[in-house]
Amino acid sequence: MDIRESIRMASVDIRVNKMRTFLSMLGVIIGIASVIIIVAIGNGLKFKILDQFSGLGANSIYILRNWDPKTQRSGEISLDDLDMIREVPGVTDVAPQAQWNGEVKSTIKSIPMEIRGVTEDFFGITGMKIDKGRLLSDIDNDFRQRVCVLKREAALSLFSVETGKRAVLPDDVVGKSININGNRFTVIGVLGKEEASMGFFWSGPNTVFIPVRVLLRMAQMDTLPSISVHVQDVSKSKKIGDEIVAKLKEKHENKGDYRVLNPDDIQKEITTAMNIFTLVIGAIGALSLLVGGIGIMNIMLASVAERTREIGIRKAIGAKRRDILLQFLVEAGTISGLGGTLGILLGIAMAKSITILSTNEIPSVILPSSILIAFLFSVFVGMFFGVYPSSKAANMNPIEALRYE
Amino acid sequence: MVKLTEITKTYNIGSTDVVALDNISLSVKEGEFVSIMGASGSGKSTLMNIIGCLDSFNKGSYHIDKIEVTRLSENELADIRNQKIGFVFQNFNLLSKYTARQNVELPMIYASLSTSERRRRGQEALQRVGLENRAKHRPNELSGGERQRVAIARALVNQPSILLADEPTGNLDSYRSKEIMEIFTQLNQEGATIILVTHEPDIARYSHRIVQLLDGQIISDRPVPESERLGGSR
Ligand SMILES: Nc1ncnc2c1ncn2[C@@H]1O[C@H](COP(=O)(O)OP(=O)(O)OP(=O)(O)O)[C@@H](O)[C@H]1O
Ligand SMILES: [Mg+2]
Repeated sequence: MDIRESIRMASVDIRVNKMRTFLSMLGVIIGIASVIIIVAIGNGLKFKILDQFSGLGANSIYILRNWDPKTQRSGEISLDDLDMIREVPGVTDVAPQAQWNGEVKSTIKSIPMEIRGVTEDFFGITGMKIDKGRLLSDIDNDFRQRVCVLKREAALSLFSVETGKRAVLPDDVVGKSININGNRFTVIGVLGKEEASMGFFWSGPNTVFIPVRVLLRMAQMDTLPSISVHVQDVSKSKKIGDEIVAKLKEKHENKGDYRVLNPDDIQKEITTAMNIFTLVIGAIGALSLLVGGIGIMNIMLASVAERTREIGIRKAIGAKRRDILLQFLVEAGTISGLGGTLGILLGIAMAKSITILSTNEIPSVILPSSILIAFLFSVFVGMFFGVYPSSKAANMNPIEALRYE
Repeated sequence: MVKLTEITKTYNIGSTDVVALDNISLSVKEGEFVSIMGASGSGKSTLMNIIGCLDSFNKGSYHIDKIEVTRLSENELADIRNQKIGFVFQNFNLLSKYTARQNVELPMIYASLSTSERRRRGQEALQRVGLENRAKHRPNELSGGERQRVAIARALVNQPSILLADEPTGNLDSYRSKEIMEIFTQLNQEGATIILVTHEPDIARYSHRIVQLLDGQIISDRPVPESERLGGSR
């Protein structure tokens, strides 16, 4: 007898006994559904975080000042260092970043904002796009022009006039004057809507960009807190980062230390952490499948007892031990595989509902591989827990089984 | 064909032994049509179950087609039941969830025949018992006589060496019983070897030889004179 016949036999029994089949599936349905939900949300969160990172520009590394316990100081980065770093092989762009918090006022509102000092390169590195007006240029920096570019949200909160429900930017934003910590600036541009939230590094939506030289003077800073460096080849980013740090230390006579932040490393760390998280929680979910398996075993045992006579008849007309074993194993596997399939569908539906109900705050990603693994695992669980009832059936003595009332 | 030599079968119930078969020797040749008769509890079913390789025995030897059954493994016994024996039970023993055709095809599934071969032979067997138009009925949609005919079709579908029937008409009225016996007679005329258990002398008269059991022993073994025989063209 071949396996196709066993499957055919199992399908007859499943159809004949729909209610019993459904009850024995219940545990597997719930178990598989919960594993699918957990893994879907785990993957969703992972991809969401990774997505935010890719918004940073995967080709960028960050050099930050770092405290050196020996000298009791942090390494300095001056604007003059930028040209030196630009010379390092493999570096395509260098952008300084200085950050300051302050009060920004328009004629109608006064709002606390993040003020960032940047150069022209910065916008290219981060992929930020202009919507109205123009971006900051190197000339603005060289001549210390008091001009600024606003993030869209910042512009909205400073200038928007409420028309009905939606806030609308007035057309003449560019050219307006604002006051940043007591200094007058002219708005020269407004950025476009952001695609992925780049919350990680360029956090606040309420951000205003001004030439870095202007910021350093206004804030009376003598060093840059960090710079971002665009590299040609990500795989060399570690080497380039080390080289830059070495050059900076040499130039500043080892007065302080520096730190290199490599998005590639962080990305890897996040991926690993999220994978472990998903695996652990998923495994706990899989434990609930154990309960489902025991449920199947229970009902299979009852079913074998109830079908003793059938087993006797089959043996009387020539069924071998392994034919009976196979029949019941396949039946158990089919029941749990069916339960697994329903569980997968239920899990997908529930994961999607959670995502929709949370307005995408809790994303879910269902990978084909999770579906396949869940299905195979459910079949395995049924077969595994079907071994005992099936061998009980297979070991029945034909004449005793036939006499069974 | 079938040869039992000094077969003894005892059942242990608690501390007492019940001797169901006591030193029985019996040979049935190819093409024979034998009835086994005897009072209730005389050991007829026990004997049939042993011939059918369904039950074991304590002493003696049993050969079917010159094969010594005592030495066979469980798998080999299953093959004998599948290939050499067709068993018809008093209570039909059909699988209620399967249609007549599926029931008839079941022995061929265990014989690993192809789907088309099963279809063909199943159809043929149903035709021989006159049920070709009931193929899609389930047992509960068939009369008792029809059920027994399905069971006969199932028993002969693998072309066994011997057909065993333990009171095949026990649950049927006399009209249905006659129908069933006509089928057996027909099969026997086509060459089938048949052993049949019955209580009723009128049923035994379809056969050619009557073996009488009493308390697990054969007390008589005689041919049925042609003049007394029923069934077929006679
Ligand atoms: N499973 C069993 N356990 C114990 N004793 C049994 C068993 N089966 C049969 N017997 C005994 O063996 C003897 C023969 O039984 P068997 O069923 O062969 O009789 P039978 O001739 O077929 O009777 P009937 O005409 O009523 O069917 C009886 O005394 C019966 O009580
Ligand atoms: Mg009996």
